[in-house]
Amino acid sequence: MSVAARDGAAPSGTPPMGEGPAPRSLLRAAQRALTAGSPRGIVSGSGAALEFGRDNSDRPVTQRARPVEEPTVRAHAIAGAPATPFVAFLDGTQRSIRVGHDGIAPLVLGTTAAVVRTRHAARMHTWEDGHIRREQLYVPKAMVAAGVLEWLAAHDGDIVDTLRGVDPAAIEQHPLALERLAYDAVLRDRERIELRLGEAWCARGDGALFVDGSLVGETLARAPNAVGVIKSHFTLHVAGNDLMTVLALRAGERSTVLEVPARESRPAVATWYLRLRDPAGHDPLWGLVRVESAMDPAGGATPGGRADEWSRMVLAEVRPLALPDGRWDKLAYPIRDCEEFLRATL
Amino acid sequence: MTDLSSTVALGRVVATERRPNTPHEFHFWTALDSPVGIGTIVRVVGATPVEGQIPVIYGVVVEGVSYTDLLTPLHDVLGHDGVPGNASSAPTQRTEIRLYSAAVLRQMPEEPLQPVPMGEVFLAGQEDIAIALRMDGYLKDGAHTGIPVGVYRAGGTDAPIWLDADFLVGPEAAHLNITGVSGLATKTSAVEWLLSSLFAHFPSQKGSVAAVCFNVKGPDLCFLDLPGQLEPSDVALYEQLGVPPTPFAHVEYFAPYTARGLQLNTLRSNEALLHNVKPLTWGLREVLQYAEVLLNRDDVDAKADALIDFIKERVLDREFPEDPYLSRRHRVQSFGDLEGWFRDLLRGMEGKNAESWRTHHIATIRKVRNRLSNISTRCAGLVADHGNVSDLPFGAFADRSVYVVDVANLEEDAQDLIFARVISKLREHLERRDLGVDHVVVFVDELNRYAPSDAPETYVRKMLLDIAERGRYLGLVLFSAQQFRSQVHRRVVGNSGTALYGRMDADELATPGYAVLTPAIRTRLATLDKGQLMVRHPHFTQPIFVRFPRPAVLRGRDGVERYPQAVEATLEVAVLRALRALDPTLTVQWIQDICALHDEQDVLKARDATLLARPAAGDVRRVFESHFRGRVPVREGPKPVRGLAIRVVPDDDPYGSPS
Repeated sequence: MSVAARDGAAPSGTPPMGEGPAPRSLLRAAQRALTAGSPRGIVSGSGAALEFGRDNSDRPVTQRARPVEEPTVRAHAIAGAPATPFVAFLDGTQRSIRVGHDGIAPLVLGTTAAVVRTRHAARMHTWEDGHIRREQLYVPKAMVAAGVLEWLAAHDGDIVDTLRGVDPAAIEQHPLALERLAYDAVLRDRERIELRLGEAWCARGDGALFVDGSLVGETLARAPNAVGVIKSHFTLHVAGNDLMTVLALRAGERSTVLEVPARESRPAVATWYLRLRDPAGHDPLWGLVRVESAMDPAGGATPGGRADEWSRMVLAEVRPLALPDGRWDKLAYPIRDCEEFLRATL
Repeated sequence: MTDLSSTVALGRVVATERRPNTPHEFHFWTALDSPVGIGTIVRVVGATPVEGQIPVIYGVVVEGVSYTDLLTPLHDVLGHDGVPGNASSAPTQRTEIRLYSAAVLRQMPEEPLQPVPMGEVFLAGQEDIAIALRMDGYLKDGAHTGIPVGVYRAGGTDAPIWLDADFLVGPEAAHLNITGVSGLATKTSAVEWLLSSLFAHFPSQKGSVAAVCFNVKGPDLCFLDLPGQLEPSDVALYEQLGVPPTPFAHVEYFAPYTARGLQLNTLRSNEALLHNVKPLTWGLREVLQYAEVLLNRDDVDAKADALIDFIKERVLDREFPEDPYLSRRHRVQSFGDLEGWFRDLLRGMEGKNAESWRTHHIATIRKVRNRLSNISTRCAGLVADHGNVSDLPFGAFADRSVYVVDVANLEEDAQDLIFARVISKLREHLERRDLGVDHVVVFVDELNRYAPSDAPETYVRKMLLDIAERGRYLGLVLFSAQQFRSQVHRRVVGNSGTALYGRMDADELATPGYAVLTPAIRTRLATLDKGQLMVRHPHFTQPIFVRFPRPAVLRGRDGVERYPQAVEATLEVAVLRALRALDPTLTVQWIQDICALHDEQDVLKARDATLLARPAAGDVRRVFESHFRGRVPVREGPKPVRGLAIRVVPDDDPYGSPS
């Protein structure tokens, strides 16, 4: 049983995960609500996916981080095999579908899912409670006809208000701006369920967890048994000569450990760059990932020693190749496995 | 009984637009460690009721594929830097699928016939298999017509597979054909096992059954009455299938003599085994009925045919009246008599310079004489000049008996003659319902030779076709075997309701007749072990793989080692050996005395007549000796007495000479 099903987090009336008819039924219910509940309702065909950049993180920025291992950023060769490999892998995904509009107000069907896949005897399996899948309607409630909301409520539609917590004065009366609000809300929900699974692993899981992306939340950011591996480099934490050093890393080398300052939802974390594959003939970021781990976990090892061991574990995941995924230079195969699982069950 | 394996789902049905399910085929995946394989029978339980009933579909796995998420093999090479050993260092194995295709055996309910729905897949249990193969229809109490052919084994399921006697022996369908490469003892072993099974399970309400087996090569069928060595696993199979692990209780062997006529022309000639070996000898009457088997069309034109008919109707076995061309009356009962008749007739015609006799031209008469006289030479040992006939017990066949006719060492002509006559006689008696049994199974191996698809029409092939097409109405059932099914006449194999396949040759599997089988099934056929068969039967909508026990009889190879063939003996030894089967007290001295007095042919004739008469042990001497004309043994005459001179010359005779 999934966490969602166990906790009752899934909308009531939603069939168990993995069953085919559920998404279509909620989509149909929303389409019926639009046509039945409002004279202005317009249904968008069979539902179209929203196309936005992820969030503001897709804008290239530099946020320099302070070296904590040594004064300047240097390259460190990583040798040997890890003492123990990763046991679990965490990834999430989301899908946003435009159902239609009531006037300019969009109805968006958002599906979020996350999974922890564990590795036994080199085969990937879903962790016992490690799959969450949620499906909700994202609606600017104040801008939608009451008939639509009543119809949805009568048919057990789980509704998220996209205007909640948003300054009314800042709301643009623009259909795309309203869709963006829905899109961001779906993203936040995805991060929430990823966080829940990560926290569940930290509480009950046994072994090291590989998180696809940045560590979110305080629990993960302080966990001694979790690292985040970031493939995108829109945000760089080095500049100048340090950047040159990072870009010059050879396969199997890591950079000096840096400290990413605390932010609103999490404490400071340690980070370093790690070159997974030889970039010869490719762009400078090819095969380069950034690894995040807890800044000062219990255990007594130096930041550099911890980074070396985590790096060995990450480097061990370069086989098998994550092909045919285009990001195979940075993507660990078990994360591709998580993505395939989520794609199959979304 | 439903075992655990049939209650735990081992797969799920999947279908895509490119690879959809149909009413006759579906696809499912399983875990990597699933016991499913090619030939496994599975049960699918649908999720949505149709007309108030959850559909249950039974299928047999006919194809399987596995693949990973690799787009191209080159990616794997790249991923391991071209070093295969690096793969072992990868902490994760690629996601892999086992995807199987199954052919539908049966859908429940059978109407409406729909594409196979999505659902869970289970291993079929024993009850499932009975339903899937429609065996439930003929395994009912009170109407049980099942004949076990072997056991189906997969994933812990161990279920007997039954053939329907109505479709094996008739009348619904009949006949059985076995194909397989030579040298694996599969074909002969399967037939021996199946005959045991048939004898053990043939329903009493269907009457009696016997078997006539033609041993066409080696010693394969020569020791059916002697126990063979069985492994414990074989004994367990016998027990499971309810067949006693014993050799055939009643077997009789028939073999012609060798050309010289001293001993039987069979590998079962060891003196210890002669008690149930009988000679197969035929006379003129028996041969003339099947003259067309031995005389081809070039030999026998319409004119010759007419003369042969004349001989059969007017000459054979009757007093031939006086004729201007014949010097005496004739009664023709043997080839020797016929030769005398021909000789007399031709001499008479030549003497009167006649060109024809009773409308038959002298050239035709010479030709027929030549051809018929030649038969006893070509079929020496089978055809007896003297006319004694020793034959199968037509009219007195016993229930559950096996009659083996050993033709392995004979010339082709003699083999053809034996086939033709034995089968014709069986058919005649079955038509009259006086054979002694209601059904006869005829086993013929080497159909590639006797019923080839691409050879000129022969009498034997015509007979085999006749059995295949009409035998089931009579109770005459053909069990046939060959190495290359594709090269056997289509009507023979096509009329076989049941077909068994042992290990097959790859070239044979590449012929069009096997195109209906999937590549995986063909691969399995090419790699079958001893004791494994693929079975096609009218009730089974798809071929099924079974395992059968080795026959409980002595293998031919072991038999000839344990009971070596008797060496060609002297006349005295050969006759004594034959007669001792009737009376073990006969002595060498006795037979030597007789052989010294008589010609070899007369001794052999007396032996054959005695064996045919089968007198009681105490009467054998008398019966044997009664076949000889009385002869006074040569006795030494009285010693001549040295006599005196008749005349004695007087001493005083001046003309006499001194003695």
